[in-house]
Amino acid sequence: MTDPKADVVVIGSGVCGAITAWQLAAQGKRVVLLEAGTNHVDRGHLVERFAGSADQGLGSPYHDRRNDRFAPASDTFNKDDGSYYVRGGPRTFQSTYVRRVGGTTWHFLGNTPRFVPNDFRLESRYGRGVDWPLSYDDLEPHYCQAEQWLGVSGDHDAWNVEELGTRSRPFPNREIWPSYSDRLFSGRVGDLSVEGTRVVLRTTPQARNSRPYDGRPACAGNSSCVPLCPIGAKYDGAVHVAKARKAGARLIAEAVVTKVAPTAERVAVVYRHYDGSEHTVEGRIAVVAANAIETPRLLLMSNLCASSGQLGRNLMDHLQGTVAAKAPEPVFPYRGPPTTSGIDAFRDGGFRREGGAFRLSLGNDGWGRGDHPTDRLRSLLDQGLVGTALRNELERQTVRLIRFSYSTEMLPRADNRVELADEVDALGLPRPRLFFSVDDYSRAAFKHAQSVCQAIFEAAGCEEIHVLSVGIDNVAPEDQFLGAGHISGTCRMGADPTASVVNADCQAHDHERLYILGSSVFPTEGTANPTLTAVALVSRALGSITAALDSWQ
Amino acid sequence: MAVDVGQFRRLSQTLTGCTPLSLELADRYLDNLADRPEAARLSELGTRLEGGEDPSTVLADPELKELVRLVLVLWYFGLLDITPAKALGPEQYYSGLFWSVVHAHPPGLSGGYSGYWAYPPEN
Repeated sequence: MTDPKADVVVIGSGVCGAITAWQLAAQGKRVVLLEAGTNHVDRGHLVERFAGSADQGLGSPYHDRRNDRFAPASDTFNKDDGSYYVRGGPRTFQSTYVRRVGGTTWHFLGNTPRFVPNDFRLESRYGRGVDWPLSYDDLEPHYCQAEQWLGVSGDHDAWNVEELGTRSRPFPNREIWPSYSDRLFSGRVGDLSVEGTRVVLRTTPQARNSRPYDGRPACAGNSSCVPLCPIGAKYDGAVHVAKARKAGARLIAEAVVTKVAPTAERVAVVYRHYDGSEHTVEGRIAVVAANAIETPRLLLMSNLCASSGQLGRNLMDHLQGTVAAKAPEPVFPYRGPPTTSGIDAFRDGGFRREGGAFRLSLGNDGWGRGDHPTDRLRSLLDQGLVGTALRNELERQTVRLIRFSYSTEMLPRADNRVELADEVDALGLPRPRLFFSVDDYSRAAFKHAQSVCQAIFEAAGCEEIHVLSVGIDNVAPEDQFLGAGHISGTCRMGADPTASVVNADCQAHDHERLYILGSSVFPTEGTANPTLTAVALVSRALGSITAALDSWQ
Repeated sequence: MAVDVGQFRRLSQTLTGCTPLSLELADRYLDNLADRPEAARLSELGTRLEGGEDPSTVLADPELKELVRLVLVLWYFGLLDITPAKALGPEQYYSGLFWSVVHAHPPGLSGGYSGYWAYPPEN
């Protein structure tokens, strides 16, 4: 069956696809928005599932029997069947996503710092990785646009500094209040310098309302941003799916795209419904915005974008660890957003010649995901504490828990990659096989970050400072990592068509009617949470898409 | 099992160190425990605590330790067990004592105003 023709077929209804669909539909373009997952966006229902789950984990609000079966992803995959990913390399790739209307911003934390200027020129400045085909200055107006779209709350004056990238416009919302813990900590570290670098605790820009904005309420500090904001104060892609539909875009959910076939005149997009029926929708342009694993998977299945040999390669994430400690006084965790401030002083520097940069987030969430309060209860019981003694000790220990989460930069490496596995999903489509390894550049970043965290915690008078083990991959705690959910790099952008998949406008070098949006196009990943930069690139690409559509009238 | 809800609430208050506990929740938790083999000793547990035995002595009794642990996990986290964790429902999750003991709130239910986290807790 062939559906009516569209101007643009957008594949993936996450933040990048949704904004693209909205903007183009608002211009009067005929837009079809295809989403593999279901369209279950009733927040009350999701909250109920979250609160009724055993672990309030990443996938807890989003499990859906049909979605899990026909549009599987690692967060919601039936674990009895093994991981959704097929592992091909020495280390376990930790980051996940959801496939549903609105995409993975449903469970993102919401941190939205920009890349720093040197992130765009890692090779020319430090001799590592590659340069982007555009600069910070090229992207700056689009960062401002992205901050407006997502409703970022931030402190303009604190962030408007050269090393972090000067800003031409203020944030749409003032900063989210720093936590009580942040305030105590700031007082304790004062003018501390580590390795000659002054350590400044800054409030982190966040796509979370500090005041009512865009029809959504101000953050009420529910502390459950990951996996779900119960009130919609935190941005998620469903915001722009709704705007896209209102502007006239046609959303087709439960539509798993199996093939994209561009010709000189049009692009045919073939998808399957969960009942196995096959459909085709044609557009003058197709935009693939399915995330940095599903996008290369689909393009590999479609035999597209093959000429550079880079498709699916350079898989990156921000490898994360936790340095945990006990503060010298109560800091009262588990209140407010999971993090409100961070340290950005180590996101750039000459050390990037030898090892990755990193960003530190000061947590308001105890020792984070690696340490559940039930573990502490069990441990105190094992020590023979019960009754009032147990309650008092549980309180005394917990209120002092503090942590830094370090998110480290990794280099793009051709051998870290997404391939098509022999194993298939319920629709018979090859599952992603991920080859993932960790190099000395990342290990140097872990070590550097751990040492900086240690120095800061010592200066703040903390005790029991240690790298938190997450029990992964059977290696020492110092070499373990969790995923940040910042999957990138697999459709890299570049000026040279023999060495990259898309150009600086996110247009495929091999197929002029095909655009790829999302963090998959990042040539290097810096240390910023990727969503804001991905959306800034959408803002930039929209100019090219519109111009192309108009020129092909 | 043979303990009534009043007795279960009293023994729960002694074990958790938190008073007063909800009678309605006590009733539900008592039901939840009914199918667990450990619950056969609830009556003995209640009698020993009401007889003035120190709760730490009761915890040290290998025959009762698992039951004490189950009762605490129910009240502190609204879970029927930890490994594997067995959820009872949103209301039980939101009622977990842990969060108020540490002056916080269950993630997903702050009940606070925007910015409350900048100040020390009032509870």
